[in-house]
Amino acid sequence: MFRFWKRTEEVQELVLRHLGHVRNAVELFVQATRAYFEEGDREKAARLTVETHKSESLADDVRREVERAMVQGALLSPSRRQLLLIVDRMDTLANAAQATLHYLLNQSVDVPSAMRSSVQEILAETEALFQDVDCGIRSLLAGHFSEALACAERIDDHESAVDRLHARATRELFALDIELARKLHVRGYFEALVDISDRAEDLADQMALVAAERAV
Amino acid sequence: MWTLLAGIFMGWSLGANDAANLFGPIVGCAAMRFWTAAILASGFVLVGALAVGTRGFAAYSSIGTQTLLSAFLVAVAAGLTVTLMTLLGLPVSSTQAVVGALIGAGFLSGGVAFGPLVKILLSWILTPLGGLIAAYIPYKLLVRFPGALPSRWVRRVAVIRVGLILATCYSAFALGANNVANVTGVYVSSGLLSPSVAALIGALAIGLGILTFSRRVIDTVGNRIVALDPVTALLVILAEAVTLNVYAMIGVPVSASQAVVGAVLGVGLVKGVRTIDGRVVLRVAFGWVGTPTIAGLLSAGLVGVARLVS
Repeated sequence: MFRFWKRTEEVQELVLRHLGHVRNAVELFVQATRAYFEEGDREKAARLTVETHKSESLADDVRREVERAMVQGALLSPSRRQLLLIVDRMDTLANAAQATLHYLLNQSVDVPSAMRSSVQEILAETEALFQDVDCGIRSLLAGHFSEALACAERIDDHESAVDRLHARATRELFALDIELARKLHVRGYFEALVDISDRAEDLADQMALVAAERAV
Repeated sequence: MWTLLAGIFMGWSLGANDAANLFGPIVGCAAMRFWTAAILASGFVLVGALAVGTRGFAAYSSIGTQTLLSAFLVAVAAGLTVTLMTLLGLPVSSTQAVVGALIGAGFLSGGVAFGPLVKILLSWILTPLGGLIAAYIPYKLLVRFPGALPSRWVRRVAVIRVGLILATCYSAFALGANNVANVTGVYVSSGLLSPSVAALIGALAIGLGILTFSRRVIDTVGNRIVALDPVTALLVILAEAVTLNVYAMIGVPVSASQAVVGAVLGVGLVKGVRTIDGRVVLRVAFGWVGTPTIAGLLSAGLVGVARLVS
């Protein structure tokens, strides 16, 4: 009768394991992008991209395990729905990290040197943002809902900062005296780069909703 | 024995309707599959009826003695009233239907004992009040001391789930203990059945209603209770079960629906009076007045026609 108790405990471990893989993917993405721009080491960037892909695949596997545990009866339906949405949205962060690296390496994006500082700033904000994603998920699972709400608000702040950096970078890019095709190519890369923070904002919205509902 | 069919019909409709109060939330929250919950609830209704249910028969016998024909007509009138009110979408209490029918039949035969009747009528006021208090106090305490439940999300959900399963079993036990008298009580006072056989037949009829027709009711009524959320649903089920159990021990059959409505109001009072919909309360109040009145008139009419024919 109480098999579900064990499954319920497993769900928490699985969600934390999933978070670990997503964090790994985002960290590897940051390292690979820095290797590409700051060290100019494309081989290292390619190697780290493969590692990012592995972490993303592992995150996918764990997400499926979470779904399976839910189907087998872990938790109650309102919590199932909420937790599945959170895991799904977390998963999109790893997907975005992988997609951005593929864009960069497969299309050999040539970001003008004057704009590389913008890439670094966006990367720094993305790193800080993920610290709050990590904190928010752990707080939710621990039942510390006011902390989770505070983390969600900080994620929103980071996302706003990334948006401002993106807007500034776009203005600077189109003010440069380079070919339009290159401008459009670089703009596409920046759009991919900021996609991670956009998706993190969706996750933060979901976290805030759950925290608010559960806190009542 | 054919007169028993009306009682079995009454038990079947009671099982089909009250199942939504019993395990609607547990199925709605996906804490348990429908069939597991239905079998578990039917089993505990049987246990409750056989263990404590016979005490309620005395209450109906004390209102007035029934002949075999009047017992049949009382059961038919009560069953028809429950069906009519359900079709009209009004909240219905099988207890009130049976008592109303007994009074209606008793007036014509001049055999209504008002002493025991007052006790039953008083219980109609005290039952929702009992449900309200039984839900209000624990919910108020839980809001005040949230640390009573584990803080970890998944652990908290698991504890609530175990609570829902246990509360559902207890609630089914209490329903069997208290409401079996509504189903076959009139046959005990008419001398057709002994209390233990009446409890067995009544519980089987309720179980049949749960197993055959409750799913549809759960889909509609049950989901409204789930909308409360799992914690408040758990408190409402527990409050209903405690109220029914207390009355079963005293030997007074009361309405499960009244206990549930009282408990939901109790939760609403903690959340804030504004959350209570006044129109719904009026509808419920109309149902509580309308059910015994219609059952009484119907029963008196049926007994009157039977007399004219015979």
